[in-house]
Amino acid sequence: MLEVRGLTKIFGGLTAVNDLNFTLGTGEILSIIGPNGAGKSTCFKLIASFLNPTSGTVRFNGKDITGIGPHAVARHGIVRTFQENTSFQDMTVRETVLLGYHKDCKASLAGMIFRSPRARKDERAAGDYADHVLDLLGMTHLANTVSAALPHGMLRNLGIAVALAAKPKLILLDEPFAGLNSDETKRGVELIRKIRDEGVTPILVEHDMAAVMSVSERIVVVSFGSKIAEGTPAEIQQNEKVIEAYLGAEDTEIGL
Amino acid sequence: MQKTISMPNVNLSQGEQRSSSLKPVGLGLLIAAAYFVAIPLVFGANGYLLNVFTTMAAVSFISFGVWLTFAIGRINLAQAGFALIGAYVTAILVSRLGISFWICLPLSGAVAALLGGLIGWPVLRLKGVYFAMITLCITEACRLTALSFPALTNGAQGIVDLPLPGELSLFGLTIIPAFEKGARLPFFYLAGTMMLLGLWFMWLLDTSRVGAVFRSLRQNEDLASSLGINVAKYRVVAFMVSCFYAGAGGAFFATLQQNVYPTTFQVLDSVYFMVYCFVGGLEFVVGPLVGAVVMMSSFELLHDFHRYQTVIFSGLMILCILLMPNGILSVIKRRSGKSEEAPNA
Repeated sequence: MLEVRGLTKIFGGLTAVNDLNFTLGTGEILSIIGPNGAGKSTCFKLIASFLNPTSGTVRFNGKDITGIGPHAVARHGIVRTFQENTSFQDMTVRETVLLGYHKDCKASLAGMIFRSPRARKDERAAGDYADHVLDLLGMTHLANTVSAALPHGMLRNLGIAVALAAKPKLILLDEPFAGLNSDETKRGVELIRKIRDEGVTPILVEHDMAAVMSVSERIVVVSFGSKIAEGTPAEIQQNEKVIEAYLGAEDTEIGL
Repeated sequence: MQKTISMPNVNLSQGEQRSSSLKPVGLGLLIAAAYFVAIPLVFGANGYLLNVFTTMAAVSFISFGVWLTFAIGRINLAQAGFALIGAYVTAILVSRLGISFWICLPLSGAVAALLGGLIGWPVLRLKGVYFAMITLCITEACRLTALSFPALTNGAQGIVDLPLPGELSLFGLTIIPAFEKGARLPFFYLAGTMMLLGLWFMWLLDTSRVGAVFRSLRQNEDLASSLGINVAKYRVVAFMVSCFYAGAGGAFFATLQQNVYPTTFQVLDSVYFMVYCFVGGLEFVVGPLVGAVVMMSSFELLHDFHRYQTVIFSGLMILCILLMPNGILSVIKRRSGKSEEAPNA
């Protein structure tokens, strides 16, 4: 489904991502892990076209999508979430999710403004889909709450909700569990499986090792921009190089 | 929202939901009808006051454009520049080529929008104070351009003695009779109509999905683009609509005054258009209208203070900004249906 070949990004003298290769099959839960500053988020930004790579290609379902721009990538079916809490502050949860549906609206600009039949059809479809997404994330009771008033955990959820509303085929989750308590993380893991069962393939960048190990089917480990290991959670936990990259000691948090 | 829930045919789509918290169209039409009938009846004899109302309506019309660029999170100080472009387009076409004012009016808007699109495409990448600065420069550049091409614009002498709008007829049927010399009422009605149409379109836009996209750009362009929204396209569209309002408004003023000079619209006017939006409130489509009415009428009401007029006026303005930083309308603001507090989950 996704094929990353020789992806490299150099910022001035710093090589943030170095010749990264990996592929991803449909429906597979893949995590990219690595110490702070390893280039995981840069890698996400390269895939989502928020940055242009220095070299290398990203292919999605056979099509080259390298550097075509964020909204074009989204239209191909790749939607990312953000590490920080990102939302439209003044909008309610439902309004935000409705906007997520935007790329599937068929009406023209004038049609939207003057409420053409097609625009009304779009709005009905958007409304139905928004309700479905809110239900999936258990946020229906918050539909009319302004984003700015949401607690942290719900804001993380809203970030996923709005991305899902864009009907992605592939969702890039940038640290979805950051700042969540263990209960919320547990629900988050469940949610990621649910998302996959909906037919959306998730990729995660995440620091919470327990969550990564429980949710991932395959893990790519990155250190100083280069891939140092790839395999199932069990393989990664045994990998010498990975343990070394993390702490250089045996009793790292990886085994938790 | 409480009110709308009991109303039949509730459509909870985004647009409908927002519009229900604004004044309904019916009420707007009623006020419009009252305005068109009552003002000429009461003030009809006083040409000066009628002119004030005309100017107020036309200035609000131009300010709606600035309001729209605020909606996408840009402080637009180019409005006077594009109004000047519209004014010159009409002046040149009417005086040199004898084209009817009724064609020139929308055409001026279209030319301004087109130029706005060309300039806006690169310039709209800027944000905040940088965008404000460059748009301020655009206004100044428009004035200097008008000065520098006397062959076309007649330079500092300006284009004077513009004819009044002629008759507008369709299939031999007179829709609008020719404006008579010295008559102020036709301009009053024209400005009022333009203002209402402009307001109606803004309201439609703001309550539609396009309006929601614009607001999303103000709040987070990265998030919007990650959802497949073509950020560059939408902000140029917003800017072009804004420039259309400027161009058409400029064309109106050129015809009202029957002349146009490079100084007809300058940086100070841009600042005023912006201030009307601030004073009225940026959250409501009617904000610029309220701002323009309050500021211009209070200025007129202070007329009796003669040389202290501007001092008192500026004092009032400062108070206004201090006490109501989000505009006059924020005081009566009701974001109904949206709980400000998160319910305890």
